[in-house]
Amino acid sequence: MKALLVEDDPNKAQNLRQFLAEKLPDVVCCEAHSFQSAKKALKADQYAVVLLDMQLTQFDRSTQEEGGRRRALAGLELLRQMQRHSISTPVIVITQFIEFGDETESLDLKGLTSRIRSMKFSNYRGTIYYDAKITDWQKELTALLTPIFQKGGNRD
Amino acid sequence: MQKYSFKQNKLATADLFNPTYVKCFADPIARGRALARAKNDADYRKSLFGEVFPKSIATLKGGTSLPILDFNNEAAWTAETIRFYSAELNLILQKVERFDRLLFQCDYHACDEILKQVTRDWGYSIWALKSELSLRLLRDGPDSAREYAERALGEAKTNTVRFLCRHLGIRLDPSTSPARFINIIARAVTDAKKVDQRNPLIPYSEYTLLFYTERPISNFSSILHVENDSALLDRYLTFRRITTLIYAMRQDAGLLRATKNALSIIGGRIHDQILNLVTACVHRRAITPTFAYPEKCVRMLDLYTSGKYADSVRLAYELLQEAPDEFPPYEIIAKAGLELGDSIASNAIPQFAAKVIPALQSLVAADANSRANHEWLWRMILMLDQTPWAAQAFTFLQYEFHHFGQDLPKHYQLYGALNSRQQPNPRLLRSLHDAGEHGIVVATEAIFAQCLTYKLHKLVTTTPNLESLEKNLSYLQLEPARQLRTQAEFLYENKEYEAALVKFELLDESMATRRHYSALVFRMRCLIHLSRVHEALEVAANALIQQPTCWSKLPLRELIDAGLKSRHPKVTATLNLATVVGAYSVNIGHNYEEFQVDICEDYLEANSVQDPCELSAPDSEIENAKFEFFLARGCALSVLDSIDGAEGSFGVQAWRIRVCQRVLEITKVETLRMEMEAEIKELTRIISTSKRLTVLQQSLIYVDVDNLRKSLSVTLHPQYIRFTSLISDATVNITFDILKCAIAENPKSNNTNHLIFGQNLTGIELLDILKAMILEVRDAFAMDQKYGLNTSLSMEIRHGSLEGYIRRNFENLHLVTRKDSKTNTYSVPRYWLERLAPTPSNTISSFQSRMEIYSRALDDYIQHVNNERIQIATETLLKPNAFFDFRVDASLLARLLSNARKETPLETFIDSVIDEMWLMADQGLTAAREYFEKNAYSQISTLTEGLERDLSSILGSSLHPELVDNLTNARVSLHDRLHRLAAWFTRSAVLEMAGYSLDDTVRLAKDMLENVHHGMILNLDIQSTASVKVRPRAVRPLYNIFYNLFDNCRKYGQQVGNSNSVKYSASIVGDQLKLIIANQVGEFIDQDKVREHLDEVHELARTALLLSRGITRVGGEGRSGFLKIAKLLVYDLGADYEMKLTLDKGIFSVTIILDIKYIQ
Repeated sequence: MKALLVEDDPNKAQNLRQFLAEKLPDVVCCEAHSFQSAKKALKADQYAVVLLDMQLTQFDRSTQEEGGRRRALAGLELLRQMQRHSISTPVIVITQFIEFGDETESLDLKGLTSRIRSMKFSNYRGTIYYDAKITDWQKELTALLTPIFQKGGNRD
Repeated sequence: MQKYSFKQNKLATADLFNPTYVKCFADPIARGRALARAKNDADYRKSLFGEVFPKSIATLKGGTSLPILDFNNEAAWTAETIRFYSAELNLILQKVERFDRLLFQCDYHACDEILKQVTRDWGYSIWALKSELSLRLLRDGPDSAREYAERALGEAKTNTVRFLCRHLGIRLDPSTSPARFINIIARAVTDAKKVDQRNPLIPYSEYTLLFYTERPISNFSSILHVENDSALLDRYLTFRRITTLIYAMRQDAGLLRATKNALSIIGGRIHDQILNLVTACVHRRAITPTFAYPEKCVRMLDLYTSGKYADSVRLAYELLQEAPDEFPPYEIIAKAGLELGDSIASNAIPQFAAKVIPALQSLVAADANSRANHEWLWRMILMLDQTPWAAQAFTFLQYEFHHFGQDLPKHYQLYGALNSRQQPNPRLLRSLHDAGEHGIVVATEAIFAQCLTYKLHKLVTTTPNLESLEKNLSYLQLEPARQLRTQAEFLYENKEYEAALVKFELLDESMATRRHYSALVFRMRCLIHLSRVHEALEVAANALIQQPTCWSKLPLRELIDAGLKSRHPKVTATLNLATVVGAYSVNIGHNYEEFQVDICEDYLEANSVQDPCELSAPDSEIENAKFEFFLARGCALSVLDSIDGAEGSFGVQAWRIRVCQRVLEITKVETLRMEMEAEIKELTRIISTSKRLTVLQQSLIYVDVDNLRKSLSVTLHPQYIRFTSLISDATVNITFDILKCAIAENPKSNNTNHLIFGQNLTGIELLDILKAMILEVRDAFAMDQKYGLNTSLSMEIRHGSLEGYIRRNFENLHLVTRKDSKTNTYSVPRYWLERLAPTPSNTISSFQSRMEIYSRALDDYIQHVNNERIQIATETLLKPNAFFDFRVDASLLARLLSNARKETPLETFIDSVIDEMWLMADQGLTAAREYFEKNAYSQISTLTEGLERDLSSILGSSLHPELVDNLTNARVSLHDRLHRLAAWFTRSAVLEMAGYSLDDTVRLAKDMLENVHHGMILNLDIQSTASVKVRPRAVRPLYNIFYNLFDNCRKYGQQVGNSNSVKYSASIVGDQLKLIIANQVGEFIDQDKVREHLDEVHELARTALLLSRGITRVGGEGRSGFLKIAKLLVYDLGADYEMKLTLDKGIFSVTIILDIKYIQ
């Protein structure tokens, strides 16, 4: 069984990977670091769950690649693309920011959650605020993962 | 703030005359007693109503100590105040009305007199302040108005008035569009809400500054409450505006009841036609106007309705002379003028009207200037927002500029119609009818009994069927097109879409421009209602292709939403939806950006291709135009980077170039060709520069081995002759034994692997000479001031770049501030101080102090890295933490000795030593990369986490969410930034790049500077007549020269926001290249000190010692860099040059003249 971790912050990714390895040792954690790589991964493979960051660059970054534009709501767009392509993998949004948007539009975490809910994505499971200093996110993530894996998820 | 109500505990009777008691708790009898006392007691009156006639801007209040009540009671209290001062108010309102009329008549002198009189007799007010700004703007232009706003800001004492003055000043700036202004206020409001969600100043600010925008006005009790202590006139105007708005909205029965109650308190004591209209409507009474020009206005409208445009225009001109503060004549002249094809008689009307009417015509006709005119008119409305004219003009704007009107609440139409002082407007009755106020309409219609415009409206709204309508229309003697339109609209309103569509199609072909669009919009809506969305889209797309500026007339959002919902094959397989969305994105905004990706992917899939360039061009002219538009707009970078098949930033840019090239192959539209060519050129430049930057960033570490080799061949020659003469089997064997012992005594482990040349290895000539030669090569390789490694470390990394690169990450997030190197103090974190207010001063002080500690700690860390890590250690230069350890050990001696042959040429020997030096350098580079990828992150993160922890404890719940996010962002972006920084530590030979022009090196320096100092913008004004190809080896020195010059401009130049402006010019006279870099020095620069420094540099330049002195100082970081530039010119370019530095009238200028041969 596979989980897809869509995350561009190496530290957060490491903590999430570690958490998944402890909680779900049978699950293989695959990673995507940008909007495009996540989109590609979701079209190419099946996952039991997607842990989705909200702010992402367009492409994976490297010393040769700056990553393209950084989108404040890239995660939301990925959710929309999943809906458009009928990908029903459960998605949990995990973000370490409390504000999203730009000069023209700003959303707080609550506003973001409301917006995602208003778009009625059937596979959306919830939004978690990640703070490396505290462990609340771990409890919340456990609570959201448990029903997914009790049901079995989408096996590869 | 807590809300009070009458039901709460009452104050003691002793507080009968306490203002809080009177406002909040007193029953009508007690309040009556208090008001009676106020009549005769000036002090008490003042304590009860505040300063109603403030004598200066400084005494203008905003905010009050009185408790905030619910709307019913706030409105009642304001009404009591208005009633109490009704006599004074009636006098002031006469002046206000006169001021408005004179302003639109452009009699500015008289306006000035009135303003002076009002402020002298009744004091200052926000009205007076705004009126002065409007007057100055119209009479003298924005500079004068801005000057007044600044003066008012300086005089204002309260936060509210200061906030208003500051933002009114921003609004005056011609470069601040209304949309941008809204964003600025929205941002300020968002920030204020983060501190205190319930701050009553928030709705008040939005109400005062953003009334005529799509931002909803709410929390009316707070708005009235803030003005409890304001000037009387402001209280009244706000009361009138809010009661009018509440009536126009008619959403909340409670608010309407409260409005009715408050208006009853005033009881008709105020002689104001607008308030009387609102009062009549709220009480559902017939409107009994006391209009000055009823007949003329009605006649004007009727003549227009019956198609007698010339006569209606003639009357409109008359009305414009008599009452230019009413909007209908402007509209009639504009629209009837378009029908007649006449230009307006600008001499006969006031100057202001002469500007407004062509703008209105542009909007109605949707011509190429309509966007600019829309913005101008909106700006005027915002500037004149206190006048009824603005309310009526706003309604016009809402109607004529579709997407703008679409975002606005519908109640603004009734609001605009109610804002009429003098002219009865049949449209008011229509608005009231549309709003469901049939009772008022019926009660009032007698005054419009003979009005054709009203009769037509009544006919449409009351006729039961089309036959009856047609019959009655014939009596009204309308022109045929008007009759047809009325029938079509009637059918549409009655949901007979098929029949309506037929009539609209008939209309569409023959109508004048403005009505053509109206018919077109109805056609589209009919088709949407008939579920023929693809046809609606086709009608829209065809119209947009034929007349691109008509976007402002079309219901683009409705069409797009219907199209996206439909996903009909005829929608996805054609380019109509793409055309409509493209027009929306180009002209309105990026709301549908994501959907453009879907549309593009769907269309490609429908045509079984993956690349838009593979699509075939359609045959028909109009379809081909849509195809061109799709490639040009629907396949923009922001679409291509999201669709399947996008491969990296460079890949997407190259893809876009191919798309542009495809457009060039098929288009015959010259403007599109030019646009595509310009985009290709720009993208090519970006790709080229990005690639060059990447190469440059990964080749910062270099040693000019060729030049080293040349000089070492000379200096080592005598020693090497002696060395080779000593080589024999015996001497080599003996020497090896000694070396083996030395190595055995110093096993290579950890940091002890270097056997420093010491006592136990002296006295053997062969070894001594070898040692001396290795050390000479080592010193040259590592430390040579012209060609060595330390020079590149110093110039490329330590001198500013590393500091800028790391620091900028935090500066952009407002986590560190700039340091004053003279005082060794940091500037205050103003960004946060503005956002944290109000916070206790001791908390602010602790916050400031902690932020300074963080800035200092980060700078100390960067200094540590520069001074201790990015350094070279040798036997004499003891730097235990240096990345580059160039101490030579016995094993190196042994390796070189083992390869020593008598016949080996000196050059080969030098090369073998240089190879060893590169190995040492590589170890240093690896150490540096590891350090930046691992250690540096944790060290800086520790500082940031400490800051976050301390700020949480200092600020508690006041910790601003943006600050929390910025701290997180700092950590996240730092990771990427350090990863890139690590890549700087890659070795390269001397950078040789072919094909560069002189201007390329300039742009490369600019791009690199912006890259290092992420977020800063260098506005470079290039005036170059020197078209010079630079020889490959001169690219880096030239780039470095420009980088240093621009960096000086950044550090010492005038900065506006994040931008520095620099002028660069290059010219060739004979064989001489002349380069000039000039910029305005920053306000903070002591110009006398700069002059002294320039003298010093010139003095050095004049002496032969310059270079040796200069070079010794090049290594020292933190100077202005001119000596470094001298070094680059002399050693790296090998040039004789002339450098002149001047500072004149605040403009700092550097002129460099050199022979062109040095760079070609």
